[in-house]
Amino acid sequence: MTTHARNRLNDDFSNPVRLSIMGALNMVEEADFKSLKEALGISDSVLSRHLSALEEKGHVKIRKGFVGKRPRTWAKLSPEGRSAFTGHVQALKEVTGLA
Amino acid sequence: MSAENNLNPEQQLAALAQAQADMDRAVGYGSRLLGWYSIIVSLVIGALAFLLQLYPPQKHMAGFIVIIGLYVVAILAASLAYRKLYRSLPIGASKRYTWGFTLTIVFYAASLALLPQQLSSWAILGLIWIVVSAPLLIVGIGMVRK
Repeated sequence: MTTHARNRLNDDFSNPVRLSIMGALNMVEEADFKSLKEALGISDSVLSRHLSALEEKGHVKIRKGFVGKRPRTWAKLSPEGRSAFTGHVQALKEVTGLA
Repeated sequence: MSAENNLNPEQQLAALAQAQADMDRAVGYGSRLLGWYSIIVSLVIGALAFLLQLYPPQKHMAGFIVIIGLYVVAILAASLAYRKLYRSLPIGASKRYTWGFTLTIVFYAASLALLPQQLSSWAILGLIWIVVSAPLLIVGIGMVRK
């Protein structure tokens, strides 16, 4: 018996901000904090909080470094995160009849 | 609708499409920026390979040293500029850039091996410029057109 698509939806991505972050990161190798913040139109604190939550779940990898003397943060999907997100989007499409 | 409330599947797909459209704009900007930068760097390195043939060390040691010095400066500037410009790139872009940049450097090094030949044909010198520039130039044009 196959699992119904709604059972394959990942609760980690049901929050709209986290879903947007995952969707945005799924398009790039890596994005810096500022680009991500500007693209998604959210504040530093909201982005920081949700990125940390996604990192804790193992979906996102965060890298901190410097460009010149300025600190900069980059984020990218982990292989597990990309796989989990792809599965979630596929399940969403099946649930809504788009698949 | 609060930005923190969970969404139903239809709303999730709509939010996802919006986020990806927004990110697409940022990715396009990053890609174009790195693309133009790659085009300029490739043409400069190609030009230096061209000039190197006109100023071989056997005849123009001072000119040769100046061109090698400019090459080192161009490579250092390229590395620093890449780190400054690097923001958001589409999947595969940095790998393509690395390949293009590496091949251009390798071709430049190979052009050094032609120095004893003392080439003087403008067509061949032009060809050296094109061949040395080509890998990074193609990558850059691809990024700008994306």
